[in-house]
Amino acid sequence: MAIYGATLLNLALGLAVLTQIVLFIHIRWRDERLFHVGQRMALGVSMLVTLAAATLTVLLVKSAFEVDYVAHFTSKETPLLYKFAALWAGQAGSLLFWLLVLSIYSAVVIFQNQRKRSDLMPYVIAVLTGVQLFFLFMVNFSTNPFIPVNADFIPSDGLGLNPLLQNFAMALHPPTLYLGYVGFTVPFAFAIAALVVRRVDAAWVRGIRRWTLFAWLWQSIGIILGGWWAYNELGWGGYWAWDPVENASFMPWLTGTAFVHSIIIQEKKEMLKTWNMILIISTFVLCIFGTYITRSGAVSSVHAFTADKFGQLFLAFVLVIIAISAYLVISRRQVLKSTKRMESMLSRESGFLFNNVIFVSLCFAVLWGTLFPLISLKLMGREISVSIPFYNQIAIPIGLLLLTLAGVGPLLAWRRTSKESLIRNFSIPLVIGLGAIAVFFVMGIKSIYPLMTLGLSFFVLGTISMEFYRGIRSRTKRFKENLFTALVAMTSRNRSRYGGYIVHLGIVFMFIGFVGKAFDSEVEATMSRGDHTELAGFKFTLQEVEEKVRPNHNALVAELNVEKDNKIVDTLNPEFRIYFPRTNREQQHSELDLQTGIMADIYSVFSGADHTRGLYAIKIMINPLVWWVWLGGYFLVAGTIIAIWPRKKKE
Amino acid sequence: MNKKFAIVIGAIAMVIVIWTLTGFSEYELPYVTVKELKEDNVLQPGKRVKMGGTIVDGSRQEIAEGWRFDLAQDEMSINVLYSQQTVPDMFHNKRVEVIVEGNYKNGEFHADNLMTKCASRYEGELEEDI
Repeated sequence: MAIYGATLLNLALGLAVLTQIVLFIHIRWRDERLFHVGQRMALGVSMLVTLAAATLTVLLVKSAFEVDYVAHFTSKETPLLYKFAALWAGQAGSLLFWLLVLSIYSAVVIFQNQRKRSDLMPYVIAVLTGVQLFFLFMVNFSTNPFIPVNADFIPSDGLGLNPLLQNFAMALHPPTLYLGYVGFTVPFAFAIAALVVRRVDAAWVRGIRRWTLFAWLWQSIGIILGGWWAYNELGWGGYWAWDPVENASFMPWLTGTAFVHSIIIQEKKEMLKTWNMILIISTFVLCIFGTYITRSGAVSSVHAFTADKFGQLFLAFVLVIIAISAYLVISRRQVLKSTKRMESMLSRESGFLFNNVIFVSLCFAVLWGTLFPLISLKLMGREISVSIPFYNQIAIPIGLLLLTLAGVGPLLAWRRTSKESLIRNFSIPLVIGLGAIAVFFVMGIKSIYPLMTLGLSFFVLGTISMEFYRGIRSRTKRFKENLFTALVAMTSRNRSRYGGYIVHLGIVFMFIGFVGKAFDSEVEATMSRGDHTELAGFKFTLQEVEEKVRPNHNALVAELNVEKDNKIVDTLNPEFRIYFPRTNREQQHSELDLQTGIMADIYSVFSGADHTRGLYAIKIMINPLVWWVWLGGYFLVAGTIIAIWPRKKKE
Repeated sequence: MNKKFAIVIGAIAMVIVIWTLTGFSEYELPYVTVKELKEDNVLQPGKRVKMGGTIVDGSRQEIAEGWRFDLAQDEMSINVLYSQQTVPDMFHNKRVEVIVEGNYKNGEFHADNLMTKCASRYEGELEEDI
């Protein structure tokens, strides 16, 4: 059956090449019929890719261990859900998955625009199949997921999915991130098309606004799920460590966020045309680069960066994109010139512009840190990486600047803002922010960053609440609506504005959560049954350790009583598991347990055991305010969905 | 206005860029090899460095401060003292590759940070059933 999959990929590659040729001839000789042929061929490529991905899925579910990929990432015991998830667990499969997502998007774009934007569509389709062509080349010639096992026997069982990855969030994290990474291909394709036909006004931007937000939404969800997984599975008590894989997903998010904001200026004011082009091109390049970093294993060391064929092909692809894009932007600089000018430093436009320059600079800092091992290797002959504090010292102040802008920007008027409106809009939030700083200072928070973050968070909360309050009040007065209907009506009349505020609210909650990091505490103890240890006013007693035999692993389950003021408030059950017991692949795994709270999480890890002597290593952490990070995530998602939600067609 | 604007924006970008380029000398973590540590004396004592290698199976030893193990790199190996009791799950795997951060003192590597190679690249070797 694997042969069918491989053949489908061959056919898709061939058809993609033909599509390019047909579209090229159409563009050259303007024969409408050829455009329709090209369109259908592009749909054909997408269909073949979908069938190939379906074939691999069937092979995974059927445990066809004669296929190398199947034998590497699943085993007989792998639960069904994770057999599906194995589709994106390894390099070859995830490239095919990338291709699948792009194929679906590309088909949607073709159907959406059957009778629209006929000037752009030939180029849009050419770019989309061009990107497909690259990935088809990769899965056909570099990392083919249908390759048989490299042995003269069929393994009776596969290796199985790493237990760390057998987690619901981890099963969902890669596909969500890919929905984002791949999603930015669509606005990129429209950007290139607009450049080619020299129609770079507000129209193309309006056309891709929802696609961009859609990609941005999935990118955000992917990043948050990744953090959630790290926090709930890895057991070091954090959700972000600035490692290259995380940075790889964060960088396109940063430029993408800048783009989401700056296209508003182009829509409303026809400014920043060149800048928007550069942003979406960079975002797409960073998405490809991110896919490479994540999938190449050039993770803990960038040594392997250009060493292998896989890396060289990716690098070549990135260079081709940059070269073509640069040529287009430079040769179209006349039409990209904006006719309007900035009028004041204190205007909505300038707020967006500051936001943009700060997002992009932060992206540069992260890129520099991520690539520094490579740069230093080339320049100084030694690989030097940078540690987490480097990122923090830059990202914290920049993050605070962005938080400030999130509060100030939306209240500035277009063109220029008067003194009166500044006073009217900002005096109450300012008082709230300063009040919050005073209260938290008295409560004992003395360090500068946490205080500033909390103060700014309350300031932004103030500005957002005032916006909602004003909007609602004007409706209740004018239409005599009650509070709730006014809120709903107002939000649905101006979805991008109020959706945006809700996203900002989410970001504020996340920042409140980040503050908690400054107040983490932990204790490590080797305990026997009945021993206890204390942390942050809680008493932890190891009540019992039970041995359990489960289908694919053996576990020691601890019963850890949590007491406060001599009252049991909770019981935690961290586990110490052995996967593949009594084989030479025996693997230990700590399944942590935590109690989530609005103020703090109680987090426990069962990190080691000497069961015969009855000694157990337990690590306990108190992580304040982490809950707010996830709460912020929900707001971000809800707000973006509101902003994307289509309007009803006017009757 | 546009010119003034460009200057302000440019200045902000410059500040962040310069800050990025100059701000990390204290956070640098050079990669070193075992050979460099043991024979070449390339580093000033106490300098924080990073080192990668494979844990020698059978050398893992749990001690009061944390863990002790041998890290092999090509033909050479070095004794590592890791100052935490909690280790990543993959630490115990056979022939596991790890990266440690810390400094080199008296023939021993004192590590306070240990990472295993990324879990998403988890690949073992297939075996025939007997």
